[in-house]
Amino acid sequence: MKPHNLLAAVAIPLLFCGVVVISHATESTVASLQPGADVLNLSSPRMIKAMSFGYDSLMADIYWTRVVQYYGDKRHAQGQGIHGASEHFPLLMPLLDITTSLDPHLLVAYKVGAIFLAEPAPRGAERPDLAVKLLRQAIGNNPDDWRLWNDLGMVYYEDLRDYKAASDAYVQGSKNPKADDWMKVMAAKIAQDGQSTEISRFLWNEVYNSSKDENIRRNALEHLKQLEQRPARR
Amino acid sequence: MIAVIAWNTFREAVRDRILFNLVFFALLMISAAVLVGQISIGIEHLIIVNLGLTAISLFGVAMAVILGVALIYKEIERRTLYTLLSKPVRRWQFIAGKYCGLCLTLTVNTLFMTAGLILALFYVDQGLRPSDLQVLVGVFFILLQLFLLTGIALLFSCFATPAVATLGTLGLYMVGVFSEDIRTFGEISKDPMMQRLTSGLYYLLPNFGAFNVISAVAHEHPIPGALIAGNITYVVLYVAIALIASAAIFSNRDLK
Repeated sequence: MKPHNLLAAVAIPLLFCGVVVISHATESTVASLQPGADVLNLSSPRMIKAMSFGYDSLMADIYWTRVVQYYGDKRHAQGQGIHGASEHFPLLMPLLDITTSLDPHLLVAYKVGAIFLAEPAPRGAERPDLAVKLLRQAIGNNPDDWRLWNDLGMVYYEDLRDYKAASDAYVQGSKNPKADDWMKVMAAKIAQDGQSTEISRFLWNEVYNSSKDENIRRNALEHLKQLEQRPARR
Repeated sequence: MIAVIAWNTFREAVRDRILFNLVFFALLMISAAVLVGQISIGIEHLIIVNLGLTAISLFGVAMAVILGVALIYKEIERRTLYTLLSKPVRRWQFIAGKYCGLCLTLTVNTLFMTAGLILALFYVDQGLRPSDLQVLVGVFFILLQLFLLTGIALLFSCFATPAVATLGTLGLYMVGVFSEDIRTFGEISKDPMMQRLTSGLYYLLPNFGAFNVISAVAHEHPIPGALIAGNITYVVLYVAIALIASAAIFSNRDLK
């Protein structure tokens, strides 16, 4: 091996070792200077849309991934008992707003985003009102998707306990020619019975069976397990 | 004669290492989509289509600009043009040959990147769906966009240095992406003069926004046949304008 090649072969790995050591030594200082997780540098969906140079849908996927990471990080911090982790999810709605403005047809962002928003603390933001707002936007942008009415009905039923609004949502959804027949049955059953373990079980079963996503199915399964433990009300 | 020049342009372009680097990075970006899909929820298929088509489009634009703006300038610099023009070759034939050669290069590279995208989809979905055919429509629209951009780059290449031509081509591309917004600004304005001006600019500038169907394709929404036919016709007409203008400028140029 020529001397300069030998020098390069030895020097490069050694210098890389130095880079790793320096990076490791400075990472905690760098992290302390970074803004916290609850900072949204760009909050205007229109501005972000313009900056995406026509690649809006990819940008929406990136923002959706950020929503998932944000929710996951918060939940993780709560689990670890980290200071300040008890506060809710202030960036959840702005991030979802940006995501759905960039791609109004990204159904998973509406559906899972509504779950993140509506779930009671500490599992979610405990803001079913925002979940309703998000789902109404979803229905406006995707009028052919009857399952969004089911999602809306569920938020009214499970989180807001507004059985009339829930029943109305199922009635509206059942008007879609593609809607399954059980939507009509559900509208009548909720209007008649109000809160019932049987209805909750059916709805969560429907979420479990209709979704291909593992996270959504796991969440539905968790609710089904909780229902099993709950004493029957009716 | 046009075919010979085109084939030589293609052979010369594929020898360029930068081209392989761009294709490599595009394929890397498409592969990264598989990982991104795993750290998100419910967008495994969607992110591959979105990231894949975006990578094909972005790297295709880079290739069209890098290769297109130097097409004529390089021939003059290396003095190979004089040898060529001493043969019975008309200047417009030279322009047309160069354009076709570059389009062939872009098509071959796009096909390589598309193969990478299809492989990524196959890996994630464990097979292909009938709706994946829509992805090919998206790729076709990107190719049309690249053919249009190449025509513009070639036009700049006929009278400007590569640096100026790059700025001009990229500038027109960016304005073309937002051409719909230019018209909207005019509509918002109450000044009829401004409305006529923005409307005129909208029709005059290349409308690259019309080729962006990535979102529709990712959501498996059908692309209307009228849009496909309209975009093909648009590119044929616009490229014809660019090539005629290029040939006219190049024919009048004193190369001595």
